[in-house]
Amino acid sequence: MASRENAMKRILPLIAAPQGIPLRVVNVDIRGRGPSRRLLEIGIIPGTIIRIVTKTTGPIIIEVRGSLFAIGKGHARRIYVEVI
Amino acid sequence: MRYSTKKEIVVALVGSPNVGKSTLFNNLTGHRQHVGNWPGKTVDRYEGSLEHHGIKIKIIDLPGTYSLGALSEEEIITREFIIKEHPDVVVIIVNAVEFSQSLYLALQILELTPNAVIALNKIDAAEKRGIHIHYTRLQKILQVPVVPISALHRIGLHNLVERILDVASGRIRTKTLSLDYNGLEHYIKVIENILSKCEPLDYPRRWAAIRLLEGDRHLEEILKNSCKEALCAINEIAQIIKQELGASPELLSISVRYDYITSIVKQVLITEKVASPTFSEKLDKIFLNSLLGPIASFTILVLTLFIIFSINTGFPLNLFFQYLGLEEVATWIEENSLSGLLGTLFSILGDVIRTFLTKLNLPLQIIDMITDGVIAGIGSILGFYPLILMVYLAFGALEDSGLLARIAVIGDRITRKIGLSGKAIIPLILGFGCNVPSIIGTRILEEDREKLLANLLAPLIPCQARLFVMIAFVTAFFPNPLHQALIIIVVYLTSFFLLILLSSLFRKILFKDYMPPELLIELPPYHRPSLRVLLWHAWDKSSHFLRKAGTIILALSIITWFLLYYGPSGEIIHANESFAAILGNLLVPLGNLVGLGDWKIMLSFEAGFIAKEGMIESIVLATGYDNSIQAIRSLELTFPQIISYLLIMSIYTPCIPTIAAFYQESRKAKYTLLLLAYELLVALLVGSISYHIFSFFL
Repeated sequence: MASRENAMKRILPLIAAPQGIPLRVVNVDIRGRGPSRRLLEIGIIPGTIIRIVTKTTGPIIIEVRGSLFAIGKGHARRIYVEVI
Repeated sequence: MRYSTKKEIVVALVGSPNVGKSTLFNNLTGHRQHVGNWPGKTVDRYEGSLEHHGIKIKIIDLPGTYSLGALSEEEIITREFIIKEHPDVVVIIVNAVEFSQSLYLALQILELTPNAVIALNKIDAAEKRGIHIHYTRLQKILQVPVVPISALHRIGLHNLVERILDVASGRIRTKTLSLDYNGLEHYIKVIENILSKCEPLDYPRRWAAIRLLEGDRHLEEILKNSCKEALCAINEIAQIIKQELGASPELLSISVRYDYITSIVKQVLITEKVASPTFSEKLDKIFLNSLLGPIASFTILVLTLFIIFSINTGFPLNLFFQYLGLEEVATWIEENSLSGLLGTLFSILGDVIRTFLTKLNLPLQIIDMITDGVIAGIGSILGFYPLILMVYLAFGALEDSGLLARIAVIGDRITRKIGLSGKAIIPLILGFGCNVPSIIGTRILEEDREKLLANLLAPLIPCQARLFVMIAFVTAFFPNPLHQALIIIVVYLTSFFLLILLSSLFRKILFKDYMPPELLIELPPYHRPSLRVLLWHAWDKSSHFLRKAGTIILALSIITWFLLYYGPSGEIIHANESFAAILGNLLVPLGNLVGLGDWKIMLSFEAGFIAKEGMIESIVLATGYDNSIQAIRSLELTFPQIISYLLIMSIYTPCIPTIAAFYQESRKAKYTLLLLAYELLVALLVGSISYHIFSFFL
């Protein structure tokens, strides 16, 4: 049910999002207190506009508030965004 | 008015990595500084001082950190220092180029203490990029002084010191930042109330309440011991918040901070559009390209190692000139390499001291001990010093320029296979130069288990000293350069194979459900590193290591010297009478297992324990030849024996400095013994297998 709603709003995990265009963060799935909390601390929180700069075969390079970050694929699966 | 009565004030520097914090520290304190360790931690503690208007300003350089969330050792040190040591002023270094990003840490500090000054660093670089920050307005919003500076070009430093004194003296009134946490406020008050019934904490109560809501492991640990009921209540409140507000408390609190940052940025920051893509963007087109990136990274790393090796020993640059037929140039390069020059220096020094001591009519044994034991021991410490220094210098340059972060991104795919995140590529590559900076370099890894795994694996990477032993052996036994190269490649490949194999073994045995940490790394804009800053850092780090490990290394060198030159009958005449030779003879049965049952070879393995360079020297000593190639040839090794020897040499126990570094980083004798044991065992196993296979086929 939830996934169908997501599909209707065109919400998708960052890993599947298109490159180069502005994306709005909708949700960050932080499991436990592990390093994925860092994602929040660098400003990847609901409402933030981010952009995928490049997708390498490994990590994904994103621009968040004017800074570049490389994040692993596992992280990128937990960040949900919508195209704006 | 604290300052009228105080002649000394304490100032703490806080900032994220890459913000230019150590550059500011060095430029403020000059050479009046001192490196130590935080008690019980592996993080370095830098302390320095300066004087201004007759007041002594003691500066503590707190470890670089992105937040105060208590996720890492660095974060805990930083916040504990601010809370418990009450520095007179905290200087928060904010990066003008990455303004919003670095405001996050600044807000967290301002929520903790009012005695702060913001140093807005890299102001010159920001202007060039068309970023203008209205700093007086920022000052008004945050209620603390904001000083635009360039730590690198020493701009604004005088002004910064003046403002530090203003805050310390109370001439400028500053305020703790109190953010409005909206929906969370009610719950924060409830927790504050709960905490008021506990034993008083060392932390400001509101701050502690917010942190506990966000799930702060460090504070929870404290409460667990002092006020368990409170902890249960707080956990319940966090659950309620999730249900009622529809999001986890930490997500809400971090959002509040970022909303505030967004509003600040709107008020103080103006960005002019720079028409052409910046230099950084252009370079990233290459480095982050999935085809060009790996090629570029690989080229840079190989080139870096080539330069380090050549300056240190002349190799492999000398081979190039030999190939061209310019033997004289090749010899000149070898003699004038750092280790060549040091070698000459120490042999001259030994002679001078020997002549001097002989004139004093000291007994011969004492003269020998001083010249051959102590001086040579110090020589052996200083002999690897240039390599450590060079490795730090070269990789410091890569890090400072921003290249290393890109290489970590590309390396992530490779290191993930051995259970490490991309950041580990850096210490692992350092290992090809020297294992010591490699092990110290694993500090950049975030998780304890990842650090331990990297530390256990790093010594398997053949360092330059091991390459040297390989070269000496292949040169002695194989005339064909192609065969020489092939054998060296086989040894390297075996090491890589073992690295992969042992990594999965350790992960299965030592760690339960371990996953390599996900990469999360900032890619700072590229910039040209400053040689002055690089030299500082390289010098600091390498001398710090020498001070800590030097005594162990020197002591063991003297013991080895004693074992090599003394026997049951006192000072020896021939090498086979020494304690080391006797031990070597005892080890012959072990050597037989791997086809190397010769006491001279066992002796060389003993010497290699101190430093792998010493292996050849000990063979020269034991065989009585004065040329190392002839000495090695006189061992008359067969092909299976040579392979077995080189493999064991490359795998078995790393040298003493590496063990010292490992012990300092892991702080566990248990793991240090594990390192020693597994390497010895694997070396014997691999040596034995290879010897028997090759003997069977040849």
